[in-house]
Amino acid sequence: MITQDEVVKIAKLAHIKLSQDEIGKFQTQLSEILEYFSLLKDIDTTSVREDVSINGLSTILRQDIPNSYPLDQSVVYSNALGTENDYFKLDSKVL
Amino acid sequence: MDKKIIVGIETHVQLKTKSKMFCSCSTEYFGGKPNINVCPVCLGYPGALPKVNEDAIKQAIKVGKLLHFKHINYYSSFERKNYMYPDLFKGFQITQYKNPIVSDGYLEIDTQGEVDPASKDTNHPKATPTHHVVPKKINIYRAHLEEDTAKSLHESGYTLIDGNKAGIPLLEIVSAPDINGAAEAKEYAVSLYNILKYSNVSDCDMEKGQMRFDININLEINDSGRKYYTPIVEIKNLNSFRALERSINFEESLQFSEFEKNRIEMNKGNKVTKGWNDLKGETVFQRGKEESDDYRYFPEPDLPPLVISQEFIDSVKIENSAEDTMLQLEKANISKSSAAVLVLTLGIEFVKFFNNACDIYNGDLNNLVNWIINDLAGIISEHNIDLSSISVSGFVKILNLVNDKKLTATSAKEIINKMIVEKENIDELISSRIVVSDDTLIDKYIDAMLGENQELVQTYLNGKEGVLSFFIGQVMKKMQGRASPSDIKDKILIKIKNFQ
Amino acid sequence: MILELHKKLKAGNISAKELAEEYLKIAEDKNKVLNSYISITKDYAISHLPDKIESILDGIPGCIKDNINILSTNTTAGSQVLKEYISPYTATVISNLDKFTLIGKGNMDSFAFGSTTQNSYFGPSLNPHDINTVAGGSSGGVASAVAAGSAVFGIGSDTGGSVRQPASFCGIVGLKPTYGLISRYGLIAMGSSFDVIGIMANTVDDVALILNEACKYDPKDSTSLNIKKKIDYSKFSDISKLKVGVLKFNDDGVEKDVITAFSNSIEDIKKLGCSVKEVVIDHLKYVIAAYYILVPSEISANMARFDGIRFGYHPKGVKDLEEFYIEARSKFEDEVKRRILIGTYTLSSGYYDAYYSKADAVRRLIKQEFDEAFRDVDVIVSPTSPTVAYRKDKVFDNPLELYLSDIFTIPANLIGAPAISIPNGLSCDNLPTGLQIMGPQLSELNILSLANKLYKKYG
Repeated sequence: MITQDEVVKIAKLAHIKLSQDEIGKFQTQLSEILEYFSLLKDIDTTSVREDVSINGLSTILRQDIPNSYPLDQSVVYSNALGTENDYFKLDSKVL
Repeated sequence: MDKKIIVGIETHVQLKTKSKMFCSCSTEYFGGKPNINVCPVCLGYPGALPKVNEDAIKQAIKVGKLLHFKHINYYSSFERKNYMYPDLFKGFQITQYKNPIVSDGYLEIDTQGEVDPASKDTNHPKATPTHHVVPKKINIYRAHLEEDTAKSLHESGYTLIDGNKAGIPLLEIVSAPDINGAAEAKEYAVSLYNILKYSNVSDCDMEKGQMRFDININLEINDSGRKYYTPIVEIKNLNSFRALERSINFEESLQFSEFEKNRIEMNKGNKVTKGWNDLKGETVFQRGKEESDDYRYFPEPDLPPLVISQEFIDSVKIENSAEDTMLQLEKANISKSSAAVLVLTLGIEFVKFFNNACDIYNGDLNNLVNWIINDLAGIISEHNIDLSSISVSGFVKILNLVNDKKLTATSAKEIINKMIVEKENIDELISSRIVVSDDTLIDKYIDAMLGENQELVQTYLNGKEGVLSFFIGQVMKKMQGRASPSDIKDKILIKIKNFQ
Repeated sequence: MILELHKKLKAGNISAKELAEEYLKIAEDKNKVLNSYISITKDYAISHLPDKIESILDGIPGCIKDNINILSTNTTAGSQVLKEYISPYTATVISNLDKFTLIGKGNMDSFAFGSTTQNSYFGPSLNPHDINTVAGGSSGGVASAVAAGSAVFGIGSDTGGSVRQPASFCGIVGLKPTYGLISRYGLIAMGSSFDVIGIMANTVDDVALILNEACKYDPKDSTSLNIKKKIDYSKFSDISKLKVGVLKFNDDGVEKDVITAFSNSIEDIKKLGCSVKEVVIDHLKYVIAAYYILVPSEISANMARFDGIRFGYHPKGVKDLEEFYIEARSKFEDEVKRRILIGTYTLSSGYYDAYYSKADAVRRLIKQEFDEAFRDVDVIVSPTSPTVAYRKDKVFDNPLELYLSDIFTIPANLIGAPAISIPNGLSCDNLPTGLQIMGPQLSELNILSLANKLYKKYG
């Protein structure tokens, strides 16, 4: 069973705020889910190769050729919180 | 109590490529308008996907070769390093964690050892009467590829963010804790700087943040036959050699005095992270271990692994490393200090210029190097001129005339300056300044000058010998540099003697 | 259906504008009840009509799941945080389909996390077969639109069954292609190593025609497959020699009507001349656990970009950065929070090896076992979903219960293989059941061909 403290710690890491009720709810739900995951514990996976991608691709590279003005300036900021002199702007004190 | 400083350095270098690490945006990020070289990929817009820049891989392989890495790994992969910060647009950084592109290298640095009379190496330029130079191997664990973050400007009450720097390719070079003290740290950092800059891996401009250091530092203290280790301190984001040196010196005495006071030893939980306040010259606490991030690394699902063939590795050529070039110059009997300026300070373009000039130069190569490092480089940097626009043959033609005593050094300097800055035709400049071989003509100029300055001649004769250089200068000026100052001086002295 | 419409458009029997208006009207009418669309893009459709009809999809009305970016349209991913988001670029798949007519953006579970569309900020999409049931999910809006006839085809995304399950619930055809066959560039990511763009339509022919257009190599997607030999998926192959594997599964939790329909399908397959044999996958019981560790892990990272600065919900009047983040992310729906929390946990220090790493290894074991199975058989059939469409008032107290219902669809995502769902009957409540045909990677032509033969029989 995952503890309430663990739920709080994980939520903090994920920057998600939980009310006391939610902490309780998620504690129960996550515990059940994690308990279910323990099904995998006993499978022997020692011989498994980890170096193959799911569809077998590797070394997919791009040539070093720049393109100028890749994004129309009008859409760079179209969803932004705020801008000032072409910068994105975050209004709260960060440091 | 005896103490030894233990330092490991993580160096971040921006790799020189035309486009970013995972998208095609230009890497010209410095000084321009904000958010001009951005796209959905480097801005982290939902649905955009990364794609690896081939040249960044090549640059990393180049570093692998330059720093003697044992393993340029055939298999490497990218991971996501998860943390949220306004300058990290995706909320994770794509980096290499489990399988870096190169591992197990070293860098040899010169360290100062006490003089051992038997093996005194006084020829070394850095040697002093009491110390000599000892080479030391600094092991390098690994170098891995990652992406740079955006630039954020913290104003009071708000923050501005510019995405032009987001996604610039970075190589993180992680040394072993083999560095014992500020001097070695600086030597290591400077060597790295020289090697990477010379081979065009990075411009290493520290003011632009193209090269920066994080260090881990603690002390090994020997007290009454027992060894103690002080808690490890990580100092982040040192962006000059001076800050690197000063922060190590500061932390060394701080850790020592703290240990004397509280005798606290290092353990798994007491590592702290600090910053460096350059104005105050002190390290500043940022956070302790318990507050440190859990980065939750896992394989980047959007990027298949890198499987690099030997053929690909072989295709990455290093024309000439800084090390090799220094050796070649030494063989050509160029003084070590001049060679160091040419190779390490001025860099590969100047070395190429020198090599081309060598083929047609008719004098002592040490003089040629000095002309390049003292005159040519000075004019170029003062006037912000591109070296490639300067004619090697024109430059050498002027110098050869000096060697043949057909031009004075003063005239040569003037011609070189006019050739470079004002793009004047050198043949005309040369013909008007060619040294006068007719002694009677020089005599005429001297006689005229002495005639005009009879009072000063008297002054000279009264013992004020300083006016001699004024006399030489006057004749030089009249003759427009077409006679050597030493010839003029000799003739003046003879004539003045005759006055007596 | 597409071919007929294409002929009519080309012959001038109907103009692209008339066709667009006809479908837009159906969409507007039906949306009031079904809630298939988050937005109906009338202005966009009318201003982007093709000048002349050339390609097969020119002027054909389609519905696009709302997690696929189309420049300057609203793309919400079914979420509150993106409810006003305007796409700054267009997804590759949309460029590939070129001059189709965009009827609207299909409703979906928020960020595609769910299988009912009840996690949508915009409410659930209902099933045209019975409006007391849901359309399924997460691409439920698209399935509902196609089944109701307000779009000829639909483009969805499938991470664990999100195209096939709603197709099954709504009685249409849904294809999840091989991982990497259709570019993901522009699809808002859920589980990046599982996500594929999927296709929905009323017939297998239509699905094949769309696949032909959609599957171009995309240099912008590092996982995109570059297939040298171009296949025409609409030229179905002879399937009479096909070796068909029948997945052995545990009947518990599989509805009786679903089992009956499935048994009938096996008989039909036999009648087509195919050989049939049972296939046992020992690791089948682990697929849900592996999937629900790996996908939330990827989700926890993919969702970190929603920090409220460049896009998303913008908090006001907060005192520091931490509060800013917490506030910006407080608008995530519950299932989104749940999956971020699970994924954060399974990747966190001390748990990575036991969860993420283990699940990744198990995923590879599952792939090995399927690879071996596909040496014996060409395709494997199973029901698509253990149930028919849920009633819209059904309450799942336990998220795990819902996760377990993905048992048949998840394997294809775990191993990157193609799978198709076709309708194969009706329950006693007259709700559609679905048959899934799955094959090894890049066996699209085989599964489409078999699906087409069976579909023709039911259709």
